[in-house]
Amino acid sequence: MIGSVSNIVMKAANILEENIAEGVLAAQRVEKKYINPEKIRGDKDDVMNKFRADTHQALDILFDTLSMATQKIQEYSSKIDELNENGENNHEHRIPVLSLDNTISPGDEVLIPLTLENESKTEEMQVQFDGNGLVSENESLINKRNISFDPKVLSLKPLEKGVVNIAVYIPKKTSQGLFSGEIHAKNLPELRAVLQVNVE
Amino acid sequence: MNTAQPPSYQNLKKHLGVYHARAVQRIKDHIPEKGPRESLYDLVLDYPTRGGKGFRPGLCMATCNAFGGDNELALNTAASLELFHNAFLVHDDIEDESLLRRGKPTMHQKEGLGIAVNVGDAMNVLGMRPLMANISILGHEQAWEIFTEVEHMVRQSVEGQAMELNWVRSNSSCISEEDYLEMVLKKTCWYTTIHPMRLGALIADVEISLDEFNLLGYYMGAAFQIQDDVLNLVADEEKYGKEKGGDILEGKRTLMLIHLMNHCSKKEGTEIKEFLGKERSCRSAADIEWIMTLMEKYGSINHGIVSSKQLAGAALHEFTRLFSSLPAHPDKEMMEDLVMYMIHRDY
Repeated sequence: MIGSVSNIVMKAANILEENIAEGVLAAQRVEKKYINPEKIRGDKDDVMNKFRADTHQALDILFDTLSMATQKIQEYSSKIDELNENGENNHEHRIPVLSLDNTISPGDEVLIPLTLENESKTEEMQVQFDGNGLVSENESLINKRNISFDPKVLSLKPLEKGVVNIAVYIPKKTSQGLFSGEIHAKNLPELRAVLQVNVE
Repeated sequence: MNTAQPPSYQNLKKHLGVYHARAVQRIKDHIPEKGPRESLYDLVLDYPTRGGKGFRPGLCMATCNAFGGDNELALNTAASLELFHNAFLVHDDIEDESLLRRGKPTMHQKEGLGIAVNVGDAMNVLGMRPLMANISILGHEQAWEIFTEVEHMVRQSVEGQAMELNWVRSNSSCISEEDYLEMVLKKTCWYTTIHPMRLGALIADVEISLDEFNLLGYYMGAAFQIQDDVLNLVADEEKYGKEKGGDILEGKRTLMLIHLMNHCSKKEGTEIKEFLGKERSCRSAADIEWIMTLMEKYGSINHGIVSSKQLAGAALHEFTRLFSSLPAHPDKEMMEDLVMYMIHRDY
């Protein structure tokens, strides 16, 4: 019974997270359709700027999407440059992107291995990854529930290397496109990367 | 079935009833004095005065108070929530062809389809009036934030309703528990529990993010919806106020029906799909008995009961996380009673 307790509760928690992520995407779609943020930012007397002053919560999402994206990329490059797909330092590719050369078809599952090394000489390290789902250029979504990590928790002794296999299932109705999303270690917030799959 | 309730739950009902009555009074204040009465404005008050549980105004005002706000400031918002909720029920009863609502004939059964649709429309329009009144009480900024919350709430509800209606229209039988949980989140939870608490917290000017209330509201709302659907199968009709097994007649995809369709034999699955493909008028009491027997056989009703208890337990965990550091307050106790009621609710 305890197993099924966490089952339905976990399902509910994931679905809530996915719905909120989809809501943010919808807000971005509205922005692209109706608002040119750069133009608005450039004109301080613009009616929309005045409107914004009265309505920040809703419109902050719309106006700040671009700057948020830029900040995120900077975060990736500055914080996790030691991480790449092979677990080796690669300062030429400062934004760690985990991707495959091949395209994937809807209905298929792909495994992406991620090698990690515990650089500490004394401390044991535990890593538990999580992600937010993948989004394509045309804002289609591959839900978080289609991404899994094996093992769920990776334990590394001092100076030990280990592999986490990231399995991504592409739902059958997924549209074509390059899908990207963030993965991060729950217990190590600085450990983040961009996961990318190309669906044909 | 044991129908006796512990005294504290009577207090809970009384507490919610006070908030409900205040919200209904505020609704009355916003009904225009002039205009058609018998065919419109008198009917606007029909469902709200039939004695609903008052969850939405109760959660909104209790959260506001528990977090140190003045719930008088939340009254307009609470009235708006109650009006939108009842508008949704009027239209929902038409869409589901329901016969009874809170023990009386549904609006369209009593007044006819055209009048009922128009009354539901009027309630949606009138639901905006208290939100407009918020501007003079709470200021433009907070009134707008409340408006954006309500817009999201109403939109999620219609999206969830569309999901459910489409399952019935297309006679879907391949529905997963995840699909069901998503539908319940959209159709029920945002407007029954999540947004009422978010709005109460917003008006109380809480320092934590409103998103902190999402999980608590979702677990509470999902637990309550599943319990309500179980009651539709097992409760005494007179006490429950809706026709027993009405959800089966409607072909409503409840968690129990989904569980049954995912666990029965292939032959039974085909027969259930055929049954669900019939017009409602062609379904009989014998059909209800047959589906009920299958649900018993495959443990579907028990699955619903267990699932709702699990979600209620998770809600208690979230409640403790959010409310335990707050000072003692009757509204905090009421919220706790509400969660405990779901855990101990009997059939």
